[in-house]
Amino acid sequence: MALENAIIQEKLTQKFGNKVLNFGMSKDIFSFEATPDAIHEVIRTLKVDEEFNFHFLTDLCGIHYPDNDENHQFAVVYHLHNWVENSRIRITTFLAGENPEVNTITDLFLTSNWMERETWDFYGINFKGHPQLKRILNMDEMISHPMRKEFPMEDSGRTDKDDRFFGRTAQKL
Amino acid sequence: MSDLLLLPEHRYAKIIEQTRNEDGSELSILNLGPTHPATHGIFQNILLMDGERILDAEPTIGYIHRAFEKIAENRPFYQVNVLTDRMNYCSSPINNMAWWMTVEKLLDIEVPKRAQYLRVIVMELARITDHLICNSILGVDTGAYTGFLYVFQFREKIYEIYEEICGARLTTNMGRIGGFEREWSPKAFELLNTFLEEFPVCWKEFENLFERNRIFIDRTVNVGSITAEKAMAYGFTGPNLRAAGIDYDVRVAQPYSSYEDFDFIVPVGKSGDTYDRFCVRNAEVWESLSIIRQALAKLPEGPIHADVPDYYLPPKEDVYNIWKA
Repeated sequence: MALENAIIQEKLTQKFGNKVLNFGMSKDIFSFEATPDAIHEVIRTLKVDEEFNFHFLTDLCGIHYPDNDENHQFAVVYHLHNWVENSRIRITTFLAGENPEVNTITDLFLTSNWMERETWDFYGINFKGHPQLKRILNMDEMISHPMRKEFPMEDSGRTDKDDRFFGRTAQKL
Repeated sequence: MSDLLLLPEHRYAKIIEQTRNEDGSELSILNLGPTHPATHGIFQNILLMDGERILDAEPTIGYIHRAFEKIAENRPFYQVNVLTDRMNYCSSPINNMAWWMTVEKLLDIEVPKRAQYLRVIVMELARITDHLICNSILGVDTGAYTGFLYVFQFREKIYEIYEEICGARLTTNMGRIGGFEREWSPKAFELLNTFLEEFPVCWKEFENLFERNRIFIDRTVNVGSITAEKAMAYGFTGPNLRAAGIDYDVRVAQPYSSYEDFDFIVPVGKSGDTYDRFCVRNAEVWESLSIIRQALAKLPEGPIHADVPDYYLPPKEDVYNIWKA
């Protein structure tokens, strides 16, 4: 028997009350929102509960919404997958713009270790309780979090740089 | 590089200080790299060693991070595709198709059956090239260079097919939103049919060279094995996961691009070691060949791309001949 979305919604609402919200289908994946203080427990429930059995973490990533209000500046998105029932679920948690932080889920999924490090690296989202939260792709000396929207791509028509130093022109003296 | 000299607060420094073996020997640090273990994808490992045993490793994987996500922020959908080529250029058409399918899902575009089947063919060809490299390079790494050179000529044959379809060989940028850019030429099908005739002979020989080879078995069996539970916890997918004994294949679980129309088995391994991974990939190549044959046999007639005028130029003959003002 397939895992019914309505049952997931009912069970989670029963357990977490108003900490889980906005259930709905979004491009054929059942999605909902959870508050940051409940997210660890929600994911633990989804994994451990025998009926849910979402045992596989497909993806974990950050998103920056600069136009949202102060409490919804960042989002962490979790994609879980139950292979037995073949159903997927997407959980979003919104974080505040100042010092965004959320509990780690490395105790539930080993693979989230590197994913959380990447999210920290690129968005500056702090995962509380992560065993080794340091930059993974960028160099340690870097001080910014480059996937934030306040860092736009360099304007390709920029003229204040001397192209000779970047190997872009052969001769320009 | 500051990492070469281990900082006193590094966690390995503490472990070394606290650990003393019975015979009085100490643990040591070895810096491996930055190197290119697979020709590309350079990375560095700081290894904690007990004699010749590696106890722990701290990899630095970001040396060739290319910030595709950031570049993609400023580009229209169809310009992102060239970036996907570069993610795994051993099988770039698969990445291309994955990107198109994502965009099509976003735009609610229904791709015609013929384009879907052609995509399956091209994706399976890409899978073959990828597995071919993976397995033959494994041969090189275990001391058998011949197999690699022998099967590599067939990668060339596949690239000729790509070239006939889209004009490019390695970084293909194949397809468009909603299907393909143009109908495949008769020569593409001709090359494909020749490949389907010649390649299995070569692949069978390649398999025979390795599968029961004493040296190869000694060097791969029980090497780098991973249990099914661990593979799942670490988020493995693809042949690496199946080699650990889990029969999960996204082509079966959530068929895309009409994979539900084809019959194929999902090969699984048992112990998740290097040998099992090798065998799973070998078996998958045979399945891919069978999928391509089925797709060619059932290939429907029809349009090559969906009706999305935003992403296609109208056919030339219509432009010049039909005047509906």
